[in-house]
Amino acid sequence: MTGQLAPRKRTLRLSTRLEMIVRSLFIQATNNYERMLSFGFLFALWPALKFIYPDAESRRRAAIRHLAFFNTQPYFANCILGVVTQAELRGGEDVAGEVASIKEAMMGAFGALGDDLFWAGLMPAAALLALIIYGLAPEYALVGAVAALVAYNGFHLWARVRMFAVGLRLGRHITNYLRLLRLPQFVVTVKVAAAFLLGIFAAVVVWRGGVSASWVVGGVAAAAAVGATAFLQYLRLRPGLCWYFVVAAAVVVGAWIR
Amino acid sequence: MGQIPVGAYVPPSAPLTAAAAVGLAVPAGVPLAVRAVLAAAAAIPVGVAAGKLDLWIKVRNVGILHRAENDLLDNRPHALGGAVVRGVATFFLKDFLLLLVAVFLGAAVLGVVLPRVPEAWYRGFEVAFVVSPAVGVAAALRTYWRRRNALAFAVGAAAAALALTIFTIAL
Repeated sequence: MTGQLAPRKRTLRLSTRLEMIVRSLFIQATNNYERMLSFGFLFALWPALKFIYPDAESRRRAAIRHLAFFNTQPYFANCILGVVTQAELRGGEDVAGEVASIKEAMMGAFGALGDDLFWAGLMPAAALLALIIYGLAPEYALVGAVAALVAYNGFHLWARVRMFAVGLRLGRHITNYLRLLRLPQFVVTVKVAAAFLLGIFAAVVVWRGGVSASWVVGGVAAAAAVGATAFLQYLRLRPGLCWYFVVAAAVVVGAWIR
Repeated sequence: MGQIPVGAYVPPSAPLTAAAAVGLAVPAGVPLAVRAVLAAAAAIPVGVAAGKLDLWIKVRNVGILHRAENDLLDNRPHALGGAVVRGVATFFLKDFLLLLVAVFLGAAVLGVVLPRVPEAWYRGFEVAFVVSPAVGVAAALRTYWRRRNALAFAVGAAAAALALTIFTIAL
């Protein structure tokens, strides 16, 4: 018990921090419906726990308490990882309670914000970038795919490393830093940018229609497809099924107007 | 598009659908439009199956969690790494095997179907090939339908239409 209450108060070595960042890439490896990302989080935290708790028994106790339910957006989890590591390094009489409260307070907010930023904003924007390049110049399709992968993965990898480093440095004071970042406004900006790219892509789709068929066939067919899909989605049909209906209709109509 | 996993919703795996579609569309012999549309049609069920398998794996991972927890309680912390390797391997095998089976099986099926597509339908497939991305645009529009996003969409579309018109005239 004494070992658990009196951890070593030192800073982590660079190699330990790097190991934690690499391990954090596997945070979803054992994603499960009982405790979601808790095991992946513990896996990423383990090098720090080994450093903080040299005694095997106190390390085991610390590890067990990190297996409590934990779920957030996996990229933003690195920020929580940094803050929790700092709390563990600092130690104190109620480190377990402090760590639990940090995780509970941050995981919900980061979950919602991260889903909006990465899944609903950045990922579609990167995909649209590839599609626009393909639409404008099909011979550069590979360039488009690489550009999308670099844009998306480059940003999220940078964000993961940066958020871990800032979390580790600032600890609980990270809330002030995050307020300065204006993340909710940034999410709005990313989604507006994605909508702008979607507009460009829509124009490119109509333009390609004009190139490959005629402006009448391409433009009107694309507009009809958008209208039909919007209507089918209004009827709450799944996007995959919408695709089948609209494409089947296009095949029939296209063959008929031949 | 329209397949974006937000919150608790588990959609079909879009990357796997795309990879399967590319793999299926490669065999030559008939026009690109016919191959691409039929390949996409065959690939969508692969993405749906991957989504369902994801659910199953997340249920199965509860067992991995409990085993690892017992290992920790028994002072065998080295088992942590093994559990993560098993988790990664499961997700990898799921995607890899599913894609492998889907591409080979799908290619065999398309190999039978493609030569039987009447040439009269080629024009229909060309139109379907052109409108396919428009379905994605409509699905994505539903996701982004807020006033400020709609304005950004309109500005993007108008700017691109203007630029492309000038480009086409210049050509």
